Amino acid sequence: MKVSIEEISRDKEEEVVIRCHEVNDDVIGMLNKLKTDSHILIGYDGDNIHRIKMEDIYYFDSVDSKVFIYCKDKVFESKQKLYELEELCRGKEFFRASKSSILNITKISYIRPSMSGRFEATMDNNEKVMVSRQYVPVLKTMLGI
Amino acid sequence: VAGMKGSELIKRMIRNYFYIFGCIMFLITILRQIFKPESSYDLKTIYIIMLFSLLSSIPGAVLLGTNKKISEMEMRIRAVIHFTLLELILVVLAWILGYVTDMVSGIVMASEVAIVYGMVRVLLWKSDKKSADLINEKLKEQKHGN
Repeated sequence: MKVSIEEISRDKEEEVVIRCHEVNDDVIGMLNKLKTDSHILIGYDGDNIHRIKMEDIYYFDSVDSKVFIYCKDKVFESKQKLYELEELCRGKEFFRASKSSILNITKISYIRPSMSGRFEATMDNNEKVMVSRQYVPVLKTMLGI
Repeated sequence: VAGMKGSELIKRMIRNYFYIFGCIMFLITILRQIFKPESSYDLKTIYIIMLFSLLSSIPGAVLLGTNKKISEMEMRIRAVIHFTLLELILVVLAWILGYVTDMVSGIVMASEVAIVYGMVRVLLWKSDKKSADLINEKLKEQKHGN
């Protein structure tokens, strides 16, 4: 297998592109090795595979059994289940905000109660994400309240 | 109730049922002790309260307990439907038990339920606002710390 490394300038995003004839066990094994870095997650954008730093992630959201990684202005699909991501996020600044989402605390701008009895978190990129009231105590504990 | 397993829904309904039934029995016992200590429950009353506790537990579990992702607007609509159904169930229960006998007492009863429901909502919102303020303060501290 040919291995190519291309050095890029700091202003460009680092990326690993695997060109293969088919996604077989060897390719998945390689992907898993890349995934073992706990600060990096693999996100898919069509045919492109991206390595995403945990600190760049705003939140994870699951829609119709697919899990998406939301960054500042990009969305990637994850092949991991939400509970697997929750496990990976353990001990980091992430918390389960509802049955379908996990939020990065450092990317929350502010939070406010909604009239429906839930909470609404506004992220630094102005996206709004619902927080179930049952998970608010988890957030409070993580913030030391 | 898409998004919620049948077993989860039943579990939630049973839990709600026991909460509602327990609260009604507790309050009726205390109120009777204060205002009518000489009267006693007959079996029929208990069965009626059991039935209406069950009916009251259904709207909450079905409308507000879903795991499906729902928008803020949809959640508000569900809360309105929930409130209307609760009003209906409580007024009918009061009518069967003989506490409501005509239109005026029905309206008074419905208004009382609405006031209590509204007060609970406002108190809940105030408590949530306090929590949110605390969280926001900590978030701000964290951002300034970084």
